[in-house]
Amino acid sequence: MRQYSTDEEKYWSRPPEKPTCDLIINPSPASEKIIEIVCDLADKHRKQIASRNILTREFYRLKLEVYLKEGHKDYYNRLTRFDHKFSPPPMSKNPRERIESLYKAFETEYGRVIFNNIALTHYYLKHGVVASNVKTSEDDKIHYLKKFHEKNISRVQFNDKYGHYALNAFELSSKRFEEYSDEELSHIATLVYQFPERDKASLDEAINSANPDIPSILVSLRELGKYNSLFPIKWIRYELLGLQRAGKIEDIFNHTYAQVMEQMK
Amino acid sequence: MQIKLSPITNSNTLLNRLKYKRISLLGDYIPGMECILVKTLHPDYYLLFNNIKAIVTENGSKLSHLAILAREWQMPIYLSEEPLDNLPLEGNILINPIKNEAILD
Repeated sequence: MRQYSTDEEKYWSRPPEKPTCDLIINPSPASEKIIEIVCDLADKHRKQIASRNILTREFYRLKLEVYLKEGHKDYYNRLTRFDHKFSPPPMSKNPRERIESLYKAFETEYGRVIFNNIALTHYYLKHGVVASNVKTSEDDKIHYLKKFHEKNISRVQFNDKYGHYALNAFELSSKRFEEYSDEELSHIATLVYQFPERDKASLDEAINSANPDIPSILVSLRELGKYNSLFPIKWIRYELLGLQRAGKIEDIFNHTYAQVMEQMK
Repeated sequence: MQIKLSPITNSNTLLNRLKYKRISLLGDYIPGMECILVKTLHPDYYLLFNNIKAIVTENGSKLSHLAILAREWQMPIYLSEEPLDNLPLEGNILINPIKNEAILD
């Protein structure tokens, strides 16, 4: 059975970094639950890859190898399907149930982002190189902002694709782009309108290439995973704002998840 | 004031007298600033790549999405060994990649 390289063993067995340090800047109390979910997910995966039980550890490694070889294609297929299918929970449920199911949806979606991240780190520790030669959702977002700035697309078209995004996007108190006025969005767009666009393969082309650039594909998949994880985030925000508007809880983003749930009992 | 740095992305270019600003959100950025000092490598800062020449951060890794993109752009990113909160909000910065240090005035 293949053993870890010393570097990889050292890497996974050291105390976990806060995986969220670049996920949310200055998180509000409401967003602490998001951080908690991401930390728990990362911890769960790390425990498996750094397990003292050789079977657990090697099985997890095998899963990573399978993912690097073929599994990432399934993830891609799932992500592109999910893109069209995500819808908020039905209004027939009460707000508490809706919020719970949205957090659950986020957890499911982000769990896959974490696994993809671990596969990327595993690849990096083995091969020492990670590049971004495949278009990502971030590149696409800039492309859309530029098109909006140049008035080549309408606001509706922009919102349809990136309306659920925001600055500091995983922070629940961050206004989504679809909530911006045209002027506010134009202000963001002015930062990027001279952005040189690079000639990169699309994720679809890269995945179907005879010689796939795996690390670049994983980087792009990570961003697509985040793109999809932001749909539940948007709807959690709107549910919370709905509660605030209904006068049930004031200054809602200054309340933790537990406080919100307590008040909705 | 001098701070020790370690590179997240490599650069051999001495960056002299860049105007810097310590920012905590993208919205804090002022056009004309050539270097940003940030707490984390948040992907939002990618939107500034066309406007800045370097990033100094307090947290981040080589696999942060921003670091991966920075390598592609040949944008130097340095990890500061000192908390950035102790530094002036804005001023000029000299980044010496050979000595891995920055001097702020």
